[in-house]
Amino acid sequence: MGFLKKLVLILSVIALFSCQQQLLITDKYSRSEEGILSYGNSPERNFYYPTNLGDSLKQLWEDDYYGGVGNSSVVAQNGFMFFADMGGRVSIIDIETGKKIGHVSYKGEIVTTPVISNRRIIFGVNDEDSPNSTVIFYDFIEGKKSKEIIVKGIISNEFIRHPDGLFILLQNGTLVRLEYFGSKNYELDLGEDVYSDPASYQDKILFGDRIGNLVSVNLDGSINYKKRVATGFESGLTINDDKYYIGDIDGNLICGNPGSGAILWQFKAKSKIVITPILDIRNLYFGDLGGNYYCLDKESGNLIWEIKIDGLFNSTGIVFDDFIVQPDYSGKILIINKLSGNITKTIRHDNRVSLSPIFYNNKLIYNSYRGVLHVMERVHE
Amino acid sequence: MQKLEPNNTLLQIIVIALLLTSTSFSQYYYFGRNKVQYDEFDWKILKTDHFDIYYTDEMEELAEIGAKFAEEAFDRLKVKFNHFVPRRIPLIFYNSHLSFQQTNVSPGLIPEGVGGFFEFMKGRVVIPYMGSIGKFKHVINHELVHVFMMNKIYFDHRERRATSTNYPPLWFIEGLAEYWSTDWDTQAEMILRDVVLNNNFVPLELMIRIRGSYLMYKEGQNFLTFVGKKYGEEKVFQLLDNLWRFGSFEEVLEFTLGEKIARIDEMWLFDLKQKYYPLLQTKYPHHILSKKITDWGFNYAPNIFKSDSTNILFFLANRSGYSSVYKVELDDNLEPSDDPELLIQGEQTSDFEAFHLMQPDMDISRQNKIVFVTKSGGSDALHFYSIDDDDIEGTFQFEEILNINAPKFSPDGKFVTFNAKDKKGFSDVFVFDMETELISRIQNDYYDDIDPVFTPDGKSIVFASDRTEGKLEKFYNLFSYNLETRKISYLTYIDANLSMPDYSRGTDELYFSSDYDGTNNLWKLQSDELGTPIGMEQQTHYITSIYDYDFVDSTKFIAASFEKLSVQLYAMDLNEVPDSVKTFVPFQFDHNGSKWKAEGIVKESVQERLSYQKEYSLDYAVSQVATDPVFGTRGGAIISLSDMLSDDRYIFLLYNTAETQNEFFSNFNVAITRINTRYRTNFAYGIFHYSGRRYDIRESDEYFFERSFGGFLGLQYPLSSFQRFELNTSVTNSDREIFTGIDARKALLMTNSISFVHDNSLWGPSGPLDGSRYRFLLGYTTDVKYSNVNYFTVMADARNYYRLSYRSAIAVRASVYINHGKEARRYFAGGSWDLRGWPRWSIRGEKLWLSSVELRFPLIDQIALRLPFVGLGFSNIRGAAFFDAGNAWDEEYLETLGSVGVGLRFNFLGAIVFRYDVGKKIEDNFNTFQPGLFYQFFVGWDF
Repeated sequence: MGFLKKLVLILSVIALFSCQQQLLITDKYSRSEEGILSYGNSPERNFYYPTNLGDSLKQLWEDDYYGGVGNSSVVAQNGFMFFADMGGRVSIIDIETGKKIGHVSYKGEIVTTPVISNRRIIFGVNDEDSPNSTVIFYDFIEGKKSKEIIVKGIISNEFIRHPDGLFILLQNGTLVRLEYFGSKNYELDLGEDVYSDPASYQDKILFGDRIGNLVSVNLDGSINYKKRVATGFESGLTINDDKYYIGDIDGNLICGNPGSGAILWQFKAKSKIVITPILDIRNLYFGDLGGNYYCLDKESGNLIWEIKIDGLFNSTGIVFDDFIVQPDYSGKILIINKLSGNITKTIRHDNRVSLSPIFYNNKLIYNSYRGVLHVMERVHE
Repeated sequence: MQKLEPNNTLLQIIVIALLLTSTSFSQYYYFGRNKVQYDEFDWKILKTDHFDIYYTDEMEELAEIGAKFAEEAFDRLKVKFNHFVPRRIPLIFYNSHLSFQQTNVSPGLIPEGVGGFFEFMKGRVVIPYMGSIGKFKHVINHELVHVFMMNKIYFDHRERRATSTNYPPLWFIEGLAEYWSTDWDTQAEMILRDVVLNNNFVPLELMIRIRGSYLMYKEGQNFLTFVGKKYGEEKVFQLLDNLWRFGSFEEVLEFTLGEKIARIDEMWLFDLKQKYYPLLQTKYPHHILSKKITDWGFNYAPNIFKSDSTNILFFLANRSGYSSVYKVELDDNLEPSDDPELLIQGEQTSDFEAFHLMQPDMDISRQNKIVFVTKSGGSDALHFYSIDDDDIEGTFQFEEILNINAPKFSPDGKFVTFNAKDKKGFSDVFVFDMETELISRIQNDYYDDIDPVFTPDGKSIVFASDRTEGKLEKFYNLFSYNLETRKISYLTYIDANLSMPDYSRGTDELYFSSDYDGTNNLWKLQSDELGTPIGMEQQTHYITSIYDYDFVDSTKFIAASFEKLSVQLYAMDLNEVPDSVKTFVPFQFDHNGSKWKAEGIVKESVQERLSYQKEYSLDYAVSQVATDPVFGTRGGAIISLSDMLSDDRYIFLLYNTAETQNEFFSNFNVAITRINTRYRTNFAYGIFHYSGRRYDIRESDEYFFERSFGGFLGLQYPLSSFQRFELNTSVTNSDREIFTGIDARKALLMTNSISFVHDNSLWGPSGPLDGSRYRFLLGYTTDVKYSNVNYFTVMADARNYYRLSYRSAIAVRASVYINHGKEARRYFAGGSWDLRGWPRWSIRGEKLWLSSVELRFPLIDQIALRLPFVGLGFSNIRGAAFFDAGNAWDEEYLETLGSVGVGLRFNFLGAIVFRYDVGKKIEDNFNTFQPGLFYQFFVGWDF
């Protein structure tokens, strides 16, 4: 009996600590602070930080949150980071200390980046044992779910945080428009499956579909145009200086006119492209699954430099005025001199690096295997 | 060696569960065939960017080529899977299939049909080189698909904190490996044509029926081709990606493809029918256009012997479970006069250890001699059989050669040419001089040179080879080797694969097999007036392949052909083929005479070259806690470590049987064992400490506490794969404590035993059906310190299986177990495994004899129960009728016990056999039948 009592006590303690804690921020929250509120932090998807990263990064902390991530990213505001993992858990973490403030868990996976809107964190859970997914609106001040909307399909493409609403393009090609307070505006089938992150430009949603169409959709859901420009798309789309940029499954990096879809130029890479190209003032940078990384002139598409590593690029990097920070899925973070293409620093980890990093409050945030988050602080500006 | 005692049940369970891996072994390794290490391999390691490649020293060139294929495959598959395998991948290359069969990476015996495997414990990929660079590349790619797939599935589930891992079914695993490693080839095409046109196609919902078969591989590959074509290539990948989402793969399929399984099956089959039904307009099944000579088993390598009055057909076949040489007499219409007769039995003795079925490994000379090939020990052997004398005249093996295939006599019968693989792995043509008994080789390179045949004038040898270069690089074409000038020249140049060249009788025209029209049909070489080859003319238009063939005269021939999932012999007359179907295809020679080169791994990708050093890593670690009212609660663990080649293994066993806290240390049981199987003589040694309660087995409720510790040494020397000697010795310090009515006893026991084991049995679904198994043991146990124990042991256990038909047999067992002397241990019997009807282990004595006769037969082939929401199906339910007799005694033999009855056997998933027996006990020296019946249910294989 004594042993049984001990057993019951141990099991109770385990159960107690494994219960989910609420996502709750009671102080320090300010709606006005911009932060990084969505993937690419804008509907056009912008991964450029107009500052120097410098050559001194100091590890602030790293911690294991036991949740793997796909090729999505984290969002941050008011000194807190919101981190969603493939185990269906969303956590709030204090960026300065690494302390987990709270988390909520759902049965399913989350493979896209959450969106912050006012006091809500919005994320999509692909439900287990179901063909449907659920969009959760969670109030992290009150610490409770304010709304949930079921959608018919898998959420694998990044949300568009548009001023006029939240746009979600499901994998089965259904476009869903939601209001930020948690109502559904429409759910429209656009025809083909989509494995590509959309972007938005001048009140249009732009994306590439599975069979290589570039599709432009108005905010009301009506199709502007659908133009076959490739054999298929699995890369994210980005819009910069009135041009769209997207990579296709045959390794073509395409630049075109978002108004008409017409191709302006294209560049042939050596392997399939699945990441979103990143751009700064002059150039465009992207990698392919073969481990090749390129720098092109974003106006002409001319190759400026090219490198090859033993790895593969399937998550989007970020670019500064001096360096590119690019995750390599084989377990590395590469700091690349964007002028020369030289890899000035390689941060190695035991296992895959999959998160698209962010730079927030002077800190570089990225992940490694199974939910280990790393925060590096920039020492010199 | 004594029977395992019931007091070590936990140990039994752990050891048996972990060591029982193959139905070729008995339940306790009591019998079993031997994996003989004929060779002591000199291993090297080549470390590349992502691989550690282990290879034997002689095959360095091929290892470097394989390394390049592996790195290329890695780069390709990381893109396909969008995944990176972070660990270094061990690849183990063997220079031939014969060497591969000696691998210790897999503990079980490896059949001929296995071309490589990926194992889970250390993530090793093991591949034999089979003579062809192209096939080598395919197998490397195939196995690496498995590596990537399993790694990705593992990571995907861990990332999602899944408590269990959903794996796809085997057809998908193998189908994807084929789909992403090779193109749709002639063999695959033939199989699908056959099953679709003969209504043997298996839909997805019933794939479990063909689990593990070649058909499963090809249907899986074809299904994924269909998915890529109809739904999009990305859907193939999504089937993997969505695995975590649902509990069953059916749901994954339906969700990913957006349709119900039944609908997917319908559309897949319709797609195949659209493709294959039109073939019936221009091509023929074998059974329509040819005369069937055999209708059972797998029959191959037909060779006609013509005497004055008869035609006798000799061939290789597996008609009983053993591959052997058969013959059958044919009348003038080439119809069999009788059933085929067994001429030379294979797979029962070491001389004819195995035939390579599906290889043209036999020929007949004009001097009435047959040459055929078998595995014999560590390499293949050429056997010569005299038809006139009905006897084997000679057997030859060659030190530098491992595999031999396709022997062919010269016209004068003085030479035999064949293709063979040497220790480097090279597949080349050789010539054997029957007078000098020496061999010479024609080539010495990595091109796959096969199926040689002498020209009718004996001055050249024609062979098939993948050395074709130019724009048709690597296709198998025909070449001619001039024995005088030693020059090799092209005979054909076509974008197809040619093989099995042979000359017709009388007209001496050259025929061969080619897959030019999608499957292997018979073609004839056409030459101009000067004898220069100009093209080939199609002779047959079968839907499925012709393999080996032999001409009866200038137009009639007998072929081994594939149809309805079997290979049978058919007779055909070319005169009956309409001229309209004899298509002519011209050659357009376009090569510059050079050879294509297989590049090895580039220097930059080579990290290190080393000699093999043993590094031990974990194989498995298993723990268990068990409790029952008899033995109480026990907990334990077993850990196995071995080197990368698994030649050397350490097993740690730890368990505890304490019932109170103060017994914890005294009831600790530990054993450390080392097992080395690298050399021909396997050895094992170890130390142990066991303590706990034991039953005396004299009275059913008497027990004692025994603490014993000591060490042991075991040696096993296999004479062949069927027979071995075993030597065991142990020293044990044994202390027994009193519980009830038994004196305390100390002893320092030394036990020595020697055994001879023979096993050439052939197994059916529930136990052996053919062959025999014997075990004879002599042993002696003595207490060298206190003289409290002193007895000798004699064991004889003989089992014979007399085949009645393909699936039925009479099994006979006779065994005697004797321990005689002071404190001799008792044997026990009773229960479903020996004296049926009697309670398990109820019959005990220092001497025991047992005899059984059992009729084994198939009872129910298949029974299915379809309920509204679920279906259940059982197949291969077998029956038995048995008679057992025996008893055990200490000093005085009292009576003979027996039982008679019938039983059912059901093999569940190939892992366990459920047994249910009903009958009557026979008591009182066979004078009395028990009133009523006994009913006994248990598990275990037939004896």
